[in-house]
Amino acid sequence: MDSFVKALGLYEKNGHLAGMGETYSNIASLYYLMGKVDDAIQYQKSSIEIREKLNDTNGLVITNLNIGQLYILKGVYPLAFNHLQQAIAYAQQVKKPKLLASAYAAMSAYYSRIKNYTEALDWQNKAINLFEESNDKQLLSRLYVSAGNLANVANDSLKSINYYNRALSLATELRNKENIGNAHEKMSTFYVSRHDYEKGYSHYKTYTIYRDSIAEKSNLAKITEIRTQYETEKKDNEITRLHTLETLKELQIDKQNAVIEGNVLEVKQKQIEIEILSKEKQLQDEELEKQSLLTKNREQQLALAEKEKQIRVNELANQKIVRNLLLGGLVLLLFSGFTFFNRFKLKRKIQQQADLLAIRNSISKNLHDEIGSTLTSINILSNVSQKAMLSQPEQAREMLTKIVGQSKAVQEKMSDIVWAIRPENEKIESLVARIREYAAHTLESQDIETIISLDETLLDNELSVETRKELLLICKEAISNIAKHAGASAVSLLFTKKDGQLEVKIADNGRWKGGSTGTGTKSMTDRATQLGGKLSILPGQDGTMILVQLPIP
Amino acid sequence: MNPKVLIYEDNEPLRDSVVTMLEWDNSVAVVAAFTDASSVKKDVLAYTPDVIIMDIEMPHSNGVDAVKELRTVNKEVAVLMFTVFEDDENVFNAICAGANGYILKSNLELLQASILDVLNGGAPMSGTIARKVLGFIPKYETKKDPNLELLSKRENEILDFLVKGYSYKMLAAQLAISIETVRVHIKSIYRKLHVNSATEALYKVSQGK
Repeated sequence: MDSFVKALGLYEKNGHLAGMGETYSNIASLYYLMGKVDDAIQYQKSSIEIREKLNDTNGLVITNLNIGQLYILKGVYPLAFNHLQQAIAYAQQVKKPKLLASAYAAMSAYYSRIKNYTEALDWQNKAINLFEESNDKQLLSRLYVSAGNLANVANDSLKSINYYNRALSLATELRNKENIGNAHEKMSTFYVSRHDYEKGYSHYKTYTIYRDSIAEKSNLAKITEIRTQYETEKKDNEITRLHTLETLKELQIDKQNAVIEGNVLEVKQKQIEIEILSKEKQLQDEELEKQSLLTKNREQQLALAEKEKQIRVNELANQKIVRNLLLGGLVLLLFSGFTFFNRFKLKRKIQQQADLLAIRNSISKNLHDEIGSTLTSINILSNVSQKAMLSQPEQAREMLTKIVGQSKAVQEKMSDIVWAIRPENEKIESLVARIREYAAHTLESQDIETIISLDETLLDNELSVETRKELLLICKEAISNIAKHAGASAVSLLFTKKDGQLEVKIADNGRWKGGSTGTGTKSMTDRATQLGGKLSILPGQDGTMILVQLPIP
Repeated sequence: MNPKVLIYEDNEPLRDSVVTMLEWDNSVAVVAAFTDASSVKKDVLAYTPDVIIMDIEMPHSNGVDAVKELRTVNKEVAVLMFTVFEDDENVFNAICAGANGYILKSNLELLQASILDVLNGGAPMSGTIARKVLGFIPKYETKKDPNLELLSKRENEILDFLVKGYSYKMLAAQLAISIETVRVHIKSIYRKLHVNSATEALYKVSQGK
């Protein structure tokens, strides 16, 4: 079936009407074989249509015959009769005995159907005659079978058997399984109707055998169909391939066209490139111009730079001059500074030497005044006491006592002078220490309580040689006086700083015995004045205070 | 038995006066009086004095060296340095060398008292000497020598006050101790001076100075 459909398809594609017509007919036959009568009729109709178009009388005959048979099967007898008559007409037209015979056979079949057995037999005989003439054995066998049927119905059993046997022999001769089978079937039916069951059964058996083998045969046909299908496919593929080749060739042509177009494009591109190059050239020309301008500019700049350099050189020269001047000035300054410094140093040195000289002078003066004179005195006393020893021993003793005292005093003075000169005794602390020692020495023996204090702010103060000597002597004098005359039990010496001046307060709780004009007092006051200070004596009821005020650096 | 006194003094009048004074006093016996101390060792061995009065400055010999020398043969004899100035550097050196004290030439009325004092183991200390002592004895142990003796706190205090001019009486009052205690401290200071000066000398020798 499939192959027929495909064939149909192909025929349709190619507009091959004849093929279509045939195919329709074939499909119809298939449907008939399958038992689908209506479909078969449909297709036969289509076939007729096409064949009528083509004026294919031959085909028409066949088709009409087929339709007719189909309608007989369906039972639509009028239509069947029509078609059959048409078929006969066509057959007579084409003058083909075979077809005619077939038509007669078909007519016979029709009549048999409508149970007009006599007519049927009649037509059958006509058909048989024709077929016997054409010697179409295939159809003959079948016709014999149908003749037999008819005879049977007409209750002419002898004739029917006769016909059946002729059919069978023919069919066997032809080896047409279908016909043989058919013949056997019919014979079987005949015998059964005659109540000859044995023969009927054996014929039926034979029929079934042939039927099955036909089925086989139809399978074989199917296989052949498939093969045909495959070959058709192959032919289809060929066609497709040829089509593809055609398309390829078309594409190549296209490509060449494209190439040509491409070339055209290239040409266009090259044109554009040429334009670009020309533009570049323009640019380069402009660049050259620009560069020449730049060069000019640079030349000018160089000229400027040269001028600047000149200026700078001049500046540098100026700077150099300035620097030299400055250096010169500096050197001068240093020199002068140096000179000044030296002068200063020299001055200082001179000053120092002057100071030293002053000190030496002072010492010599002191020695001369204080010690020299006392020594002279000692000398005199010694002389006199020598003389007075025998005559006036009492006076001699007095004088000797004086000598003792005076020489002692001289010793002390010497010690004091040396002490004052010593540079390690610059600080006021040393003065106080020495005074303390003296106080202890002088007052302790009398059990006089002594307090000596030095203000802390004065600790680092330095005193000149003159100041320390004089102050020492003042204090010594005061202490000595107290020890000798005051009759005190407590003495205090306070060294303080007041209003930028050194104040020494020497106080005792005794009685003041001297006047303001006593030798001791006078010498004390003189010393103070010599130092640029002041000495005041303040006697009181509870005691006496000596206040010394000296300026200090 | 009176203590025997040996005198070294180059100034003739002074020497004579001192001898006269002492002989007149009768508390001590002057065994000899020399003008220079070149043969001090021999003299000491010969006379075995109890007290030596040594002048600091003599023409042919140095008082300090003489003390050093005589100490090599006699450690017990009391030595008093004879000096004009008490703040003489040499006095300190002499004490370090082994002298027991000093006497000022201007204070010779105290000579007898000083002799007796020194015979009794006393040791005078003045402010200037005290200052020198403080400078000499280190406050802390130095790397120099661990054998150096350091002053005690009290001793330091005493020296400080002495430097300020305090007398022993004042010191005692200030520190609330007896004068005797003060003297004991000062003796200890002297001893340490001797030890340290000896150690120092040895150290210097060992260092090759």
